[in-house]
This record gives sequence, C-alpha cells and structure tokens, in this order.
Amino acid sequence: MSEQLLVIASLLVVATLGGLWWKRNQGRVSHTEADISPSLLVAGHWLTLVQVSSPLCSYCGAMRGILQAATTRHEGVAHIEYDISDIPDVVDKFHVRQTPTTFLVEADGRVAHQIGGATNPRAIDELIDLTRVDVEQRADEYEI
Amino acid sequence: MKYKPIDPRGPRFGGTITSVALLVVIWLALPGAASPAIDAAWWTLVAVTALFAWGAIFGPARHPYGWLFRFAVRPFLGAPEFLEEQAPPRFAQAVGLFVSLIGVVLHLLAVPYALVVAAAAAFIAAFLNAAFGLCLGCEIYAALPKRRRA
Repeated sequence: MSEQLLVIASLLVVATLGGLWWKRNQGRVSHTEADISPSLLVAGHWLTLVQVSSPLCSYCGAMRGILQAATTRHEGVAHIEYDISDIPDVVDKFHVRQTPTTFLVEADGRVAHQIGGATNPRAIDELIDLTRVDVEQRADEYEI
Repeated sequence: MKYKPIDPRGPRFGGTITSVALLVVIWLALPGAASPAIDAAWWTLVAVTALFAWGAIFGPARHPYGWLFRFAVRPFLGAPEFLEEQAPPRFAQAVGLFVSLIGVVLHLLAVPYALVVAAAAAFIAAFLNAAFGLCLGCEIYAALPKRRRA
C-alpha cells in the first residue's frame, strides 16, 4: 500500500517537474551571432519571420497563425515556414532541437532573435519592435 | 484517408483517461511485480495497449475517447484557440503503443517489473500531454539528429 502510493507520488512529482521545465522553456528567446542565407528569406521585406516546423508538431499550426497575423500588423515583415528536414544547415548552425523554432531575420541575413517553441502574439510584437529600433539605430550610425 | 484538424483539447482529454488507467495498472502490478502472472494488472495494460493501437491506426478523432470528448465534453467548452493536425497525437499514440506493448510482452516472458516500468514510462508521456499539452514523442522526433521525411 505505502509502496504503491510512494511510486505513484514520485511519478507525479517527476512528470510535473518535467512539464514545468518544458513550459518554462517554451517561447524562450536566445541570440546566436550567425547569419541565415538571404536566399531563404522573403525578398523585399526588412524582416522575415522564419519558422522551422516538422510534420509531428503540436503547436506549429498555432504558431503559423500567430506569425501570419503579426505580418499584417507590422509593415515590411514577412513570414516563411520551412520543414526541419529541408534546412539542415540552419538546424545545425543554430542547434534547433524543437519545433516550432522561429528566427527574426533581417534582410541581409542577420539573425536578430531566435524563439524556441511557441509563444504569444504580444511577445512577437515586442521582438519585432525591438529589432526595428535596433535596425534604425544602426542605420543612423552609417548616415554620418 | 484525409485527416481533418482537431480540437487540441481532445487528445488531452484522452490523455487524462489514459493517465488514470496507467496509474491503475501500476497500483495493481506493484505488489506482485517480482513474479509476473496473468493478472488484472496485465489485462488492464492489454486494454490500454489496444486503445493506443486504435489511436495509432485510426487517429484521435476516430477513437473512443475522441467520440466521448466530442459528444460529452466538447459541447460544454468554448471554441478552441487553434486547431491541431492529427499527425502529432497519432504519432504519440504509436509511441504509447510501442512502450506499453514492450511491457505486455516482457511480462508474458516473466520479466520482473517490466509491466510497472513500461506503465510508468507511458504514464509520464500521457500525463505530460494531459496536464501540459506536451507531446513527448513529437519533441523527441524534432530532437533526433537525423530525421526522415514523415
């Protein structure tokens, strides 16, 4: 009796801790000093939201909707989706180990932000605004 | 067969039932785990395994838990925030089938604690799905170093 309760309680604790850890890492933003080939981007936009998806992915469809909606709110921002098997170079370079993974990529291929897992529309808006400010500041520096 | 998108809360509802069933297996199996016999614990895991097989073959929408969700739970819920393809939960059912089948077979071969270990592994996956909406099998697929086109 006590053995059974102990085993079941341990399983519940382990699974709950694992789930909380996973949840904490969903939507985690990171940065790697590396580029994505501009040929993978949508031409004529200052920022491309590059989404890496897989056929077995619970939240890739939800993320697609969130990112596409963001492109309608922000001018000059495009969304493009790749299967994780189709872009092995990017996957290796940025250590993509989960889907969806989203990159905010500037027109020259510079990766501004990398988002692991799904996230909410507000977080996307904030990252796009941050990137826009950053790009504008850099443009100012060159003007002088 | 074309699979339409589903309400993601459907598989989570099913995962809840599966989690409870697997806890029942563990509860029943533990006292006699050292000396495997054809007992209620084994039969319960056989039933869970059969339901995993059903989900893996026909998809979560054509599963008893899917029907139960559709007719008994869904009417009381609001519209889902987003829809999910059936492939991920179907794959998860296949992973569950694989794990629980190992337990069923090893138990028949009189391997001590095989039933408990398999049920515990399947429980963790089912619980993560039910409580957090995490598809463990799908995460493993994305993390594989070499993937093939599904």
